[in-house]
This record gives sequence, C-alpha cells and structure tokens, in this order.
Amino acid sequence: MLNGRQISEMQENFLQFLNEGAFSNKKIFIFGHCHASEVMADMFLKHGFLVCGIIDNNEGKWGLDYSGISVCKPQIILSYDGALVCIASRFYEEMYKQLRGMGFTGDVLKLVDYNTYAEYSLSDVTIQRKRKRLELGLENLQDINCRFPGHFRVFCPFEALGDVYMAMSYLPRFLQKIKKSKVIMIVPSRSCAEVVRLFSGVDAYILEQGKLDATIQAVLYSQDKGSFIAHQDRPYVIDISYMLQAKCISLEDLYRIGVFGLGKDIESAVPSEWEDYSALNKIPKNNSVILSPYAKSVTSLADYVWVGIVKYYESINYKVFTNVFGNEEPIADTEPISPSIREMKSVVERAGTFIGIRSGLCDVIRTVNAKKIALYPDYYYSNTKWKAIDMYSLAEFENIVVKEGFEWKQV
Amino acid sequence: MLQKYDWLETSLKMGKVILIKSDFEVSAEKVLQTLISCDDSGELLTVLSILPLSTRMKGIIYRQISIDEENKIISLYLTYDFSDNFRVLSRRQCCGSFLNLVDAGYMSMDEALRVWLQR
Repeated sequence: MLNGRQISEMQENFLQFLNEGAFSNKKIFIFGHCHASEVMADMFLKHGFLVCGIIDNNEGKWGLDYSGISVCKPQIILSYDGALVCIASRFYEEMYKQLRGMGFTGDVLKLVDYNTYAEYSLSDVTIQRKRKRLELGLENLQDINCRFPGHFRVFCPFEALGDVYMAMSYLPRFLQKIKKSKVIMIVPSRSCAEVVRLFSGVDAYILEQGKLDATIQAVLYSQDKGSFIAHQDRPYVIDISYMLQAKCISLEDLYRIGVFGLGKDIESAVPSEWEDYSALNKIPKNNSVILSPYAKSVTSLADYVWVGIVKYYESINYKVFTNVFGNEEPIADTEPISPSIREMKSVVERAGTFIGIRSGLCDVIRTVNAKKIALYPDYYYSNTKWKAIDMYSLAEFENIVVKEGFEWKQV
Repeated sequence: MLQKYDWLETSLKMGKVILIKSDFEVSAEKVLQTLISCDDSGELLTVLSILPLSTRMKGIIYRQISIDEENKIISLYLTYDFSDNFRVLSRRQCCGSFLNLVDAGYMSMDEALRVWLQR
C-alpha cells in the first residue's frame, strides 16, 4: 500500500528516469501485482508507454489483467531483449536478488523506497548508514518517552486502517494481560490516528513513516520493554504471517492470537468515540447507498462493476454517493462525499447501505448498524494459496467475490 | 570489527543461515532435526548456535558460536534487515510471534517450525 508521500516519491522518480531516457527503447515490465504496481502502470500508460507485463511469483495471479497488461510469470522477461524491470514494492531487495538469480542482466529500477529496514549488504558503508539510522531512531524513542512519560508505547508500523483497527480492537485485553494502563499509540498518519481515537481513552502520536521506521528499529535493537510493535508482518523480524503457508488464519486471529498472544475466545473492543457528520440531512434516510471503490491495499475492481451497482440503485430511486478522499474521483452519476473516519458511522447508518471494496474502512465500520457489503477482487493473498475472502471476510458483512463477468444483483 | 562478518557474508552467499538463539525454548538439536526432515531445497544451510550439536547431515554446516558472537550478530540483525537468507529463532517481548499461535494450540511447534524453516 502506498501513502501520499510514497506516491509523490514514485512520481518524482518516474519523471527523473523518464528525463534520463531510462525507459526509451525498453521492454518495460513491472514486478509484483499490487496497488503500487497499478499506480505505476497508470504512470507508464499516461506517458504513452507500452507495458509488456506485470510479472509476479504467485501462480494464482498469472493470466489476470490490469488495463490490458497481463500478469505473467517472472521467467518471461528472459525471452525479451532490452527488458527493463520496475519495482515499487517493500520486497525490492528480494525481487532484485531473484531477478539476478534467474540470470536477468537488464536494468532493474526502484521507483519508491518502500522498505527502509532492508538493504541486502554487509558492506562497511551500509552498516555505518544503518547504524546512523538506528541512532536517529533511538533519539526519536527518547523524545517520545519525554513527551509521554509513564506511557506504554504501542507502534503501528504502517499506514493501514484495518491493521490499526485490529490492533485497537485487542489492545485493551492485551494491556490488561501485561498490566499496563496508560498507553500512547504511535502511528504514521492522521487517518490512523483517527482510527485510534475511535476507541475510548487512547490517544495517538503521529510520526512520519521514515522516522517511524527508524524508531521501531530502535525498539527492536534496544528490546525496549516499554514498547510494543502491533503488526502481524512488519517489520522483518515478525514471522506470524509466514504461518499462512500452512494454515488459513483470519486477519482477526493473526492479531488476536499471533500479535497479542490472547486466547481465541477473547472478544474485540468496540469503538465508541464517533462523531456526527455535519451534513447528514443531505443523505436521504435509509434510501441511500455509500460506495467505497478505493483501497490502497488491494487491486481495484473494474469500472463496470461499479457502474452496474450505480444503475441498480438508481433504478430503485436510491441516492448514490461515492466516498472519496483527496484527489479520488467519484463514480459516474454519483455524488462525492468525504466524511472523516469518525463520521463514517453516522453517514452509513443514515444511508442504510454501504458497498465497498474490502479495505480497512470495512473494518472500521464493522460494528455500524446498516446493510454492509464487502466486495473482494478474486486474488490470492500475498504468495499464499488463500483467496482474499478466506482471510478477510467479515461476519458483520455480506462478503462477495467479484469474478470476471460479475453482474450486480440485489443481495 | 566489521571484518568479523566476512564468514557470515560468505555463508549467506551460499544459502540460508539460521541462528538458534540461546534463549529459544526448543533445543537447537530438535530444531536441527526438524530442519533435516523438512528441507529439500538442496540449498546449503548454516546453523549457528552456542551449543555443541551432535546431529550431522550433508548440506548442513553447523557452526558453534560464542555468546559474544551471538550478541554481535543479533545486534547487527536488529540494526537492519541485511539478508533474506538470515533468520533468527528467538522469542521477543516487543512484538508478536508465530510462537503465540503455537502457545494457543493453533498449530503444533513441529508444524510451525517446518513452515518457519521453509519460508
């Protein structure tokens, strides 16, 4: 998942490579099919480049298509003269190594520095650079200690609303278990801080992603007993999600059991600190639908899926809204709406119906009282044999997989 | 001091390197036996532990290290992710672990170790 800063960084790097002629007369491939690679593909297409393929190690993704670009196996690049591979993934180092291991000798470009933890080298220069980063992290950690004396520090390492929500859901029972009461959550963005503040009695402190990474590194290095990293697969030392190779484990259990070490029967905390959206009266009560087509963490759904949904709800005289953030465009023939995270409950309950691509926002509104439908692109989670719906389905939602030729029917 | 990592760098170029930390609850001997039973990658493996191990198998290099060496390597590992070929078996308090899934009975230690070692 890319945040705004990373998208800007990718755009800047893209333009720099473009100006240097790095893409000229090259057979362009993108490594890894994910949201970031789709953003990158859009950049190439916008500038008139042909992208030969998106290569991916996950066999389940081969044959998929994004804007006319096929997802295919990595070995295909060996059959192209002048192939160039572009990467926007936190697994850059692994991917680079794999490409060279396959015998690929062409250019490999990193378009965004997505993972500041990794650099596969033991050279003196690298070690010194990483030690310097660690020192900055230790200073940041000390600064947080001074700002929040007597607080237990819980770090959410990545901008993902669903992960922050899961962390908050089980935090109270975890704190009870380790006998801590005062806590400060350290998160990378305002949106994440909003999710934190949905839960009573907890505040959040925002650290920019690079600083947050360095501070988390310092927590690891110093084995700081006053801190905890609440994530199921980041940073690199956390090995919980690898167990997905053997078993399908829901996201909820990855957090409840894997991250926090709580029992399977422990129930999640419910958010209570909601606020009312100021223009609720503009939403026809129980006669509206809120669409949420954008997710940073998953590949997008084809436009026709949303068009079909809009047509259906228009035919039964519903008012259709698209939940948008920043520069996101509303779906055609719908009205944009941009409530804050804490206002989402009032908006969705007023509308009566929510339909969204499965994203962190679905986690956030899972306890909201309305008809809620989550749509899942038909893809495999990471490099596992489990489909997204196997891991992410929500008991409070109707969960629907969107396959090729999907047609909306009232559910 | 940095030159002391030369042997580690060489081992990482040849294949995976697994450090079984001295505080890990499963004995290094048991981990090694699990490793032998599940690894069919054909890659060379280097296992580091402060304990002497009697189990031997072709393709696995065992290197006994001192506590001081263990601390230095762990410090380096916790400074940055220097290789996807390097892994540490240990229980940490500041983050979650697959060991929590084992403790909760979600999966057996043997099953979890097999996945962990094969990843």
